[in-house]
Amino acid sequence: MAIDLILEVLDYAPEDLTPQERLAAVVFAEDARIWGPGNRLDRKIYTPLDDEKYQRRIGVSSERKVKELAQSLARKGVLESVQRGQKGKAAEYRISRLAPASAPVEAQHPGFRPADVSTPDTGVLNDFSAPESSVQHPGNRGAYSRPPKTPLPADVPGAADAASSAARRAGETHTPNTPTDPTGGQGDPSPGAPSGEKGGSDEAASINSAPVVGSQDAAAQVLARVDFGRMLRRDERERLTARLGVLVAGGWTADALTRELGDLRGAVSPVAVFTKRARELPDAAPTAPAQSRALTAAEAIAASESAAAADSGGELTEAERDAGRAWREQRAAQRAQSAAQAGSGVLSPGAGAKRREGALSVGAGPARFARSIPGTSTRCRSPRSCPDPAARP
Amino acid sequence: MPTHDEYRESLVREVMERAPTDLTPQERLAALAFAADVLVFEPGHPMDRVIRTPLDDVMFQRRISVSSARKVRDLARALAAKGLLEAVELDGGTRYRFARLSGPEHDKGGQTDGH
Repeated sequence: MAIDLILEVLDYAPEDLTPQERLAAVVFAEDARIWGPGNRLDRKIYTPLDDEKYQRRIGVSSERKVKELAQSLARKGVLESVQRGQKGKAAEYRISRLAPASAPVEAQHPGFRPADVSTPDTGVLNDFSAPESSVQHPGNRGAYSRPPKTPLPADVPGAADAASSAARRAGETHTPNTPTDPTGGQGDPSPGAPSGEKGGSDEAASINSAPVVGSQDAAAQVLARVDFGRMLRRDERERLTARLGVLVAGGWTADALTRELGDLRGAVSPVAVFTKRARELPDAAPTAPAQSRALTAAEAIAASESAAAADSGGELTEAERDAGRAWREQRAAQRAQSAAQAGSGVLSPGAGAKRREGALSVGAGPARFARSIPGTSTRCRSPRSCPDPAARP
Repeated sequence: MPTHDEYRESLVREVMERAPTDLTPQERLAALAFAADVLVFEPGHPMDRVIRTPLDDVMFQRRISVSSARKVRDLARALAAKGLLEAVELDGGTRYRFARLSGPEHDKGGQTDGH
């Protein structure tokens, strides 16, 4: 609807626009449509700029002035050029995306949230939980924090507005109200009573039955993090918020949901993919797996000692502990030396001799090296590789 | 049956088309910002065409690009002086209601033109 684009321009247009440029941007936005022919994301301005209605609406006297305003808005990023005006063709523009793509509609239009009128009556209806404080756009006005609104009195038909707002949020059409039943048949709610204690309309109750406030916050957080490539429609957002609320109530965190659902790269229809994933995700979050991490040296020693103690059927003696510690230190020194040699890529000068002597084969080499360790073998197979002349064949 | 958004959109269009010609660009912009915050009901309804959000709300300062609530109120008073708004007493305070504009109906001001 044009009103969405109008509010987007009013809320997110750059600050450096003059009043006349801002007015022109709103007038252009009124003529543009978010969804063009074929239900495509469009935002294109359909009426040619030389139409007399622009001069009338902006309050300028010439067609040239309208075109200058459009060019100025294009320079400042409010309009994008679709087609350059040349060779008899009129210039065409579209409204740039001014609000962040992931922001829900209500967050993009913080000034008008239909549920606001229900503040004194149902309270819960007001909980869109749109992350208004996080809504910002680079180069624009940044976050907008709405101050608390003054509640409407009960004799002003705010409750009737609330019912119609609820009906509207539920996708129904609005019937203009009459002041005959300002509370919508729900008695006379006092504005000061806490939210949730008053009876709202059935529609309001059905709309707000599923998610609790915290889960709605988390759901809105997830939706704000995901790039859908376009603005979520209101019905899409309500549906996804309800589903995400159920998931959050089941133990999912916003981070986990973003991780599971949020990667929509390459998706032709990101919203459909996201919805399908959210639907298929189990309601209950999986239990967190045991944390696996590298053990520290002290923990490893303690673990090996306790394992050794279990093998030996009792506590280790002090001597056994010392022997184990010395063995571990020796192993660590050997590994450090091997790592240093491998890192330098140069063997130490005596490495060949040591290898021939079998010094590097302790406990790890093939059996033929084990047999060449001095003192462990009495006879060598080859005269050239046998260091002990007495043992040569 | 039109929705609230459609009513609101039609009011914005009506203001664009039928606003007095002697408005400054800032007054015209303020009128549009106010019109975008209105709920439309049946004629005679206490809240029909009344600007719902208090004028000292920072939202209007953002939308009209002025630096203070006083300037917003000044703009509202100027619009009332030029016949676009009417002051009404509601909730113990002064609110503003959009007047029924009787300017020239150039095209489809006040109606959704359906494109």
